[in-house]
Amino acid sequence: MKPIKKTPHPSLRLYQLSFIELWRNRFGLLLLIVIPIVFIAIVEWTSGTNKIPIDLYRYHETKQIILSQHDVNLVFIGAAVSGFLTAYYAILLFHRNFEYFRHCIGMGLSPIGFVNARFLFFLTVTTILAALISLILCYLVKIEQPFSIFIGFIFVGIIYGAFGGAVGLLSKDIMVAILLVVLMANLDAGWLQNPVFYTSAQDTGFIHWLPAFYPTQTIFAAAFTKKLNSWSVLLSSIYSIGLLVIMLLIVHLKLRKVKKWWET
Amino acid sequence: MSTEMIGECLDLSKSFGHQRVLQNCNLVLHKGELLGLVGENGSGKSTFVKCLLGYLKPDSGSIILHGSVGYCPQEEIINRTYTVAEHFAFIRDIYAQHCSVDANYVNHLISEFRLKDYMNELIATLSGGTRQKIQFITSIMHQPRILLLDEPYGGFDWEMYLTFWKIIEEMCQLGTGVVLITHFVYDNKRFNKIYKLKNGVLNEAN
Repeated sequence: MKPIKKTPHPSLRLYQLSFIELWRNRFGLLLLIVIPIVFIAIVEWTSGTNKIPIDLYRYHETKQIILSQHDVNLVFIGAAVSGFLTAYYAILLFHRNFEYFRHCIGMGLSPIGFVNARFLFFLTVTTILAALISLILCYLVKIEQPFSIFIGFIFVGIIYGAFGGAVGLLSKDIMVAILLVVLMANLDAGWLQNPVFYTSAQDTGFIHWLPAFYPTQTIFAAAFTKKLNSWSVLLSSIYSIGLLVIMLLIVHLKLRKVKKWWET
Repeated sequence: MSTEMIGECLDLSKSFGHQRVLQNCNLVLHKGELLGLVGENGSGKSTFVKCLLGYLKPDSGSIILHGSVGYCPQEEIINRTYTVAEHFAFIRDIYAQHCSVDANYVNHLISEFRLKDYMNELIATLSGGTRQKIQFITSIMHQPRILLLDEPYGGFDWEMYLTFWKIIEEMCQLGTGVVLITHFVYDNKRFNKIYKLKNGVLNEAN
């Protein structure tokens, strides 16, 4: 028998195939480019230019700054779009063809290899999306800390991606998963974290607990101040890691019963 | 057929709630042996195979499988977004982590099942029968020692049905033990033994 001696590791192959899957999902690919551009363009086109007071949260203190409504709205829509889209991609990555990958694990694919490949691809998409949104915003708004705002968008992406991945894994119906993610992202990243709403909110305590709060504060501090909001960065990291751990735990629970067939 | 035992299940029982699907089932598979497993719809054939594969945990009993396993499921479990070539390359990489995969053998299978012209086609665009061929090749491309086939040829035309049997016979001659699950057995003579699963009890059919 002539064995094939060198083959790529299946995780590497799966990472490459994930790009191919995205490329062939033309609708998904279109969303990645069109949604940020269209949403930001609509805000750019419709937003007023009045100056408004905005509260920025730092560790146990709130700092008020006066900003152009136009700039605030643009940065806010960037954060919301990042949350929506990464959650959508995470659902696609972890919900679609899950039975196929379970079958592949029976054939010998390592569950960790599967998670690594999908997760690495998810991070790649999140980074590309964060870079795209950061670049567009840097062009339209005077951003004080471009790299930090990019990091803030990655945090939103990871947090909502982990949420989307978890919902996608738990839900049998992809439409239900998408509905849940849209509702949550709309309520949190798309509404309560709007700085205009947050500044005049009666009770901000609840808003502080929501997953998009600290990444949004990181983004606003990066966009409009010269000082990094390290408290928000720390809490964003904790939320990101926490939600990722939850998502990976769900993957583990879903795959734990699957063993390589010849290990029974 | 050799006397070397490569797979065995002893006193396998499985219930879903109060419903006993498998009751003290025993089966021994020898090297190069071809076993048929028949039974009516819902008789527990697929449950039996899923227990063998570890997808379902039996309530009692033991399962021993010696060597690599190939499994062709009844339902279509395939990623339709890949091309045929991409799918086979991915599966080959997976198998290659645990056993050697002979490129010539894979090409032989592709040629026998007339898939050469479809290698760069998306699986989503192929017919049900062609997808079934892909699924069958997926289960045997690493030349497993034990092969479990659950209704593998439902969508094959006559020529492919005969090719299927040619490949199975070749594999048995090389020592693979095969368990084929089906509703009906058309070619009794091909099997070394045929088992019937009825009311959860597995018996050798007359």
